[in-house]
Amino acid sequence: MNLQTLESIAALLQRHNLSFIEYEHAGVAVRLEGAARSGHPVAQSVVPVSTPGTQRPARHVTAPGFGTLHLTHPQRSQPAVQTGGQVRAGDVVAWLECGPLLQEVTAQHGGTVVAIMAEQGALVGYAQPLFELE
Amino acid sequence: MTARAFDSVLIANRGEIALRILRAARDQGLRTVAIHSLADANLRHVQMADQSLCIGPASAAHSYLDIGRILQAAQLTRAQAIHPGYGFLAESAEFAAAVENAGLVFIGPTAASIRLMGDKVSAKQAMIASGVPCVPGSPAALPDDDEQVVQLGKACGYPLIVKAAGGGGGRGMRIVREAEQLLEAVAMTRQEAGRAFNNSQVYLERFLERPRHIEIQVLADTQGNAVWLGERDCSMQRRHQKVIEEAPAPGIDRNALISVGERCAAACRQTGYVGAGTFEFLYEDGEFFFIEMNTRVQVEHPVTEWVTGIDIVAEQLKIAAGQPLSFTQGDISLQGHAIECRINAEDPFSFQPSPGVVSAWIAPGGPGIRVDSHLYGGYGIPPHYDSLVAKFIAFGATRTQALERMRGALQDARLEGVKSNIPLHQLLMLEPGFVQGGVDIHHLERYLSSGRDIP
Repeated sequence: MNLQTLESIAALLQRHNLSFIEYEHAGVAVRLEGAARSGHPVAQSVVPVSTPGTQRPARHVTAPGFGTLHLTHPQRSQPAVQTGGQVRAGDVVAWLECGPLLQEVTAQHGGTVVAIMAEQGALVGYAQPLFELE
Repeated sequence: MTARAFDSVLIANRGEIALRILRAARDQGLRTVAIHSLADANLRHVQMADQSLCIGPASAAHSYLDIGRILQAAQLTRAQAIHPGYGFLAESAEFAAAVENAGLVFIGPTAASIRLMGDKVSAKQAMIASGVPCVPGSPAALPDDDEQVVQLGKACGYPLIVKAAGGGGGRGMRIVREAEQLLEAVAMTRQEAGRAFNNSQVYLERFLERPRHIEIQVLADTQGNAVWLGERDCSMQRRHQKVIEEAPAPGIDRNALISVGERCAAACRQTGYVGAGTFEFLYEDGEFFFIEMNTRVQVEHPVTEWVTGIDIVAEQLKIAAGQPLSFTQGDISLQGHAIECRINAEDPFSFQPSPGVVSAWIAPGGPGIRVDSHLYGGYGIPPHYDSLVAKFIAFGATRTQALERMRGALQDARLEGVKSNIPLHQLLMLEPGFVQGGVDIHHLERYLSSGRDIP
């Protein structure tokens, strides 16, 4: 977030007569509010949105369908991921059993597994969050 | 048709009817399973169900209309019966058959009944065979011979409509008022039908200028018993959508209604119909004309429940479990009068849907007021489905009392954050034609296009 960016945002605010703009990038957020009468934008705050020590916002891996959750493939002995493990985008992280089908659950984004949000054998619904990643 | 006791019901629907079904199932001690789309996770009945499962995205095609998903959900939740509600798959013979084939109980008629009544020609033929009066017309497609066509026109009576067999929804029709115009109209309609539907078959039906929409509610069990539960008048419609319904129908000869009602019950016995159903008629100049049968519970069922004291959805569950009807025709009598106003989240005069968050909802109440609604303060009405959000039903000893109570209810109700057609209903409860009663199916549209009272 540099002065040039701030000035661009301020110019946008003024040009389009907006009441406020919120802009977030790389963990830093700024909100500019237009002063109603004078038309001069006033910078209200520059606030980092993530807690110190973390670089990225948490993301969920959600169920692509509904069915019985298998953290471990039925024909294997180890779960696909563990808490603390690393996941890359496209990795298969679990399976959903729905009738005769076993559907793969793949991670859309990479990251570290912070939490496993559903249990082995649970009936999960469409789009239900299954893993929390960072 | 497998009618057997079940311990659980999967509700394959949403909104107010899903809540209605849930209450009936719960009251009978049945476990309730609510399946829903991603957009419907916050539905009232989903919150209340013993178990809920999100089965797909907002799109109805991948949720409420997806037979495979619904049956998978039933298997995973161990539901033993499925209630389809109205709309969606309620009148899909394929769905009814699939439920039965999966070893589950379908709360409704057999797939064969749904198929028979879904085809307008076969439905009409079945009704004629059962002595139910139909719109007069040619019994099948018109022959090529002009002389025969003229005779058929004479038998049908004027004015009549020439209809394309492959048409529907108002397309492929031509009104003929004089016998001299018939042959030319038939020729033109045939030509247009051939081009538009690749099917130049046409048939004749009498055209009714100012009919009323009168329907008969029936309940039939698996043991050959069928009872008709009086009639409803649903003439207040806009673009074929009902806006206000009432029971009984004002100003119609009771004996004529009894005669038609008994024929509908007989038709159920003769065709092996099981469950709740409605026979729809056009009524003009003292005559009833069958147009179609709805093989499901309907939106407007509460007005019949009020005047007969019968819980139609509860009866659907009992019938599906193989129980005989607990009442006979002799036990049914209509008491008082009930009016229902359909409350939609839409602009009251442009009819544009108005989804969004309900910032305030206070339902009306008091004696003779029933509200069927899934609304609650803070609920977000999704844009993906129809706009019906509540039904206000007012009951009184007389039609006048029902009207007075409905006016009060419409005044008491608060629905904020979205637009609704409450202001339109307020006008209609004072509109002289409706207040007098007995208006035809074009009355509401004439009123709306007159500009009178409309801001």
